[in-house]
Formats: sequence, structure tokens, C-alpha cells
Amino acid sequence: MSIHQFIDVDFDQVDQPKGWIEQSNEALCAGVATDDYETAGEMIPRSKWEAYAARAESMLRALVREVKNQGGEGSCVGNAITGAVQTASVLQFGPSRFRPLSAISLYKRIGRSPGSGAYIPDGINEMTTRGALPLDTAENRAAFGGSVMPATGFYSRFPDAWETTAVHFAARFLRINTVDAWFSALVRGRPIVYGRQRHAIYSLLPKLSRGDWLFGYVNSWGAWGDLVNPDVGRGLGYDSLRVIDACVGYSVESVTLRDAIVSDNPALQITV
Amino acid sequence: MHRAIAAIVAAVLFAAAATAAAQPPRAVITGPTQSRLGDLVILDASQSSGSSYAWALIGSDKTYLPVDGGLRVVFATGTAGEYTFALVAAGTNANGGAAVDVALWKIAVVDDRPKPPPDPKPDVPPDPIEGRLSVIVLREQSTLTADQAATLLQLRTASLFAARGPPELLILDLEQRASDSRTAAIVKLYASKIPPGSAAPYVFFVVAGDDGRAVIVEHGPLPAAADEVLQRAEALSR
Repeated sequence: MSIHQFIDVDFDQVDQPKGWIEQSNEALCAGVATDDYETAGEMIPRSKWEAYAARAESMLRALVREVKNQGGEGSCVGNAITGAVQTASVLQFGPSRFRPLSAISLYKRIGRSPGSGAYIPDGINEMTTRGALPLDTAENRAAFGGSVMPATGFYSRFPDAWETTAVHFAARFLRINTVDAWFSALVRGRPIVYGRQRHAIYSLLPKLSRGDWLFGYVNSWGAWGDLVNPDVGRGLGYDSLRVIDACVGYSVESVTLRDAIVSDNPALQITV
Repeated sequence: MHRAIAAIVAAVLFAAAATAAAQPPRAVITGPTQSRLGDLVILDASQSSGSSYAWALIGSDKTYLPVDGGLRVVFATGTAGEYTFALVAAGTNANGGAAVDVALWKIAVVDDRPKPPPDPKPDVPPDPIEGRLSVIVLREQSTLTADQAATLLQLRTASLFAARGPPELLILDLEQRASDSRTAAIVKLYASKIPPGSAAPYVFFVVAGDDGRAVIVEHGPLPAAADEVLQRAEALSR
């Protein structure tokens, strides 16, 4: 399998569920009150891109512990945002503290129906203020009781007092307006949520291939695309620099320290 | 005769028979008798006579390279010691029969690099630490350089695939001091332990004390290499 069949994939021609309600870049920027990466973070000069990308690629791939599958619903915005936050959380808290999140627990708050789709700014704002619930797995049930939700199922009900659990997974984002900021954020381990052709995904890694810069994104179509890493299998597509240059994205700056996840760690029982 | 020399004598005799020349063989080596570690040594057989030449390094498996049709040999080594080369020259005697001559050459390779001064304070192993070690890194996203971010990525990935008992690594953001949560309280407490003049990213090695609360056993600025953190954590855990 060649990665070249997954470069600049024409989503309009792929018979897979999507769900991003397209907006102009101006509307995308206006919809979220946050800082721009260009003014908040160090920019890596292009002369150093190749060295940084080569060093970071395998590590960024390793941060992905789950590739999401939105099933037949138009919940790509929920999947892209919760997927990006999960991946960033592995960098912060480690794989032993990794908790897969329920994309539908976010999408239910920003979509009108299973297939309506949603706006990216709505998802970013919800994730910043109220977070998302853990995915319904045996491990998460043991940790959070009933405060979990499935991956899909728009009409699933929110559990009681879901907000108190979801807020543990809130995150902060920075807006990315330029390719230079895009690259700089990625190699720091900050995945970027973005959309094109009515589909939202999250950008994971830059990669130089045959002299061209590509930006690998993690999709939410299950085992689709190129291999992410041996643990999670396939799920990676690539957008060229030309495509990324036309996009605005939101990078995960950090994930809230999740007290309920890490409270058994003595390092957090610190006293003065 | 040394076994190595015997082997090449047979080889050059065979070669000499194939290219017979009416000249009694004579093996003569010239070159240095002493060399420094890593320096290139060239031994010369051009004063020899014969129809073919072969070199052997006796009692060593180091690599050497015959050049100029065997008239010279090139050698360098990173191991100090005495090395003995043998040169076998083959030709024909006055009766037209095959004949050889052998010469030996010893060269001393010496290590004359300056020796580091002895450590005035021998490294004392740290006291063993009970309980599992955690590594807490406080970072400040707005000032984190790309190289520091790369070190954190390396640290995380190395922990991810550590063969046994990797330390638990948590990365906290100083920016979270501003929030109104337990997170903020924890981040503030760690931030207060950063000495004046130091800045994030900053590393704390933490372990549970007798009362179940965290004890900072060591702390310092984030090193440039992730391995330094892991090795320190390993030493503290041992």
C-alpha cells in the first residue's frame, strides 16, 4: 500500500460519512475566542523543518492510541475534536492514564440530528468549557461508574450529572492561521482540528515525501488509509502543503489535569 | 613458522608459480615502529624483491589494507598494544624453483591522550527510594522552545516503550495556575518549588512518603536530552 493513494483525498468522491458544516475561514476564526498560535508560540523556520519532522514522526505516531469510527453518523466534528484531545492527553499524562473519549457525548451538544453535521467552533467551545465524557468501556466504567457514553448513537441519553465527569477532559486550544504555525504546533505534539470538503479531521504529523511536504491527519473512518502505528492500525491520510495552506485549524494546547484519572498518583498529593 | 605466515606462504608460492620471475625473493619492510592511537600507519615493502607479496598481521584480528599490489600496507587501530606484521615475498631461486622470504615488523601503538583528572568527589549512589517514582514536568507553553518540546516528546515516547518499570511521567502546564480547580492548586504548589532564577520546563522526581503524600527527592531544569531524565529516574529508583 502506498501513502500516495491517500494524499489530498477528494472527500466529495468518497462514500463515507462526514458532517462538518462548512464555514469560511473568517467565520471559523470569529467563532472561537482564543489566541493565535502565531503570536503565542515559537515558530520553527522552514530551514529546520526537515530535521524536526524526521525526529518527531515516530513519536507523534506513537501518541495515537485509538482511531475513531463515526459509523453512519455525521459526527466527524465530535470525532476529530475528541480524537485530538485524546492524543494530546497521551503526551501529557501517558498511555497508562489514557482514556478514550465518547465522540457522541460532544456531538450531541453541537449537532441537531444524527446526520446534520456540526460547526467546528461550536465543538471547540464545548470542549473548552464542558469537555466530553469517557467512552463506554469496562475500564472507564470501573473508573467513572455510569458517567460514560458510547462512540456513536445520537439519541443515547446523557448520564446523570455527566458534566462533573466531562469537565475533567476539557482542553485549551490555539488557533492556527498559517502553514508555518501548523508545522510548529504539530512537532510540539499539538494535534490540530480542521475541516475541508464537509469533513473534519485532526492533523497529526508533518512528513517530507519525495521532496513534498505532507501533513498526516487521523480520520474517523476506522481502518482506512495508511498505518498510524502497529498498535492501532490504519487511519492516516495526508494533505499537501497546498491544501493545508488554505485551512484554519485549532491545535490542542493542553488538556486539563484530570483529577479523577490521576488522583491515585502520590505525586498529586503534594503538600507545601 | 607461525600458522598465519604458513598460510600466506602457500598462497604466494602458488601465485609466484603462476607468474614466475627469475629473481630470488627478498622481503624488506620499512616504516614507523611506533604510532599513536587512531593514527594511520603505512608499512612499505618497496625495497623487497620478488614476483608477489602478501601481508599478515600476526595474532590479531584487526583489519589492514594492502595497497599498490602489496608493496604497501595501511593500518590503524583504536586499541593500544604491540602489533607484528609479516611480509612474505615469493619468487624463484637460482634453479628456477619456487622460493619465499619472510620479514617481520613490530609496531607499538600507544595511547597518549591526556587522561581526565580524577573525580574529587566519587559518585555516591543515591539512597534507595521506596515506592514508585513519578516524574513531573512543569512546562509553560508560551515559552517552551521547539527543542524543549522535542525533549518532552522523546521523554514520553521513551517512557512509553521502556522495557521495565518506566517512571510515571506527568506534564503539567503552568498556565493552569489561573484556573479555579484542584489542578491549579497542584500546579501552584509545584511552581512554588522552582528556585528563583530557574524557569519552566522544570523536572521534579517525586515519590510517595510514609504518610502517602508526595516527597520531592530531586528537581532541576529539564535537560536537553530525555535520556538524562530517564537515567536519573532509574538511578533514583534502583
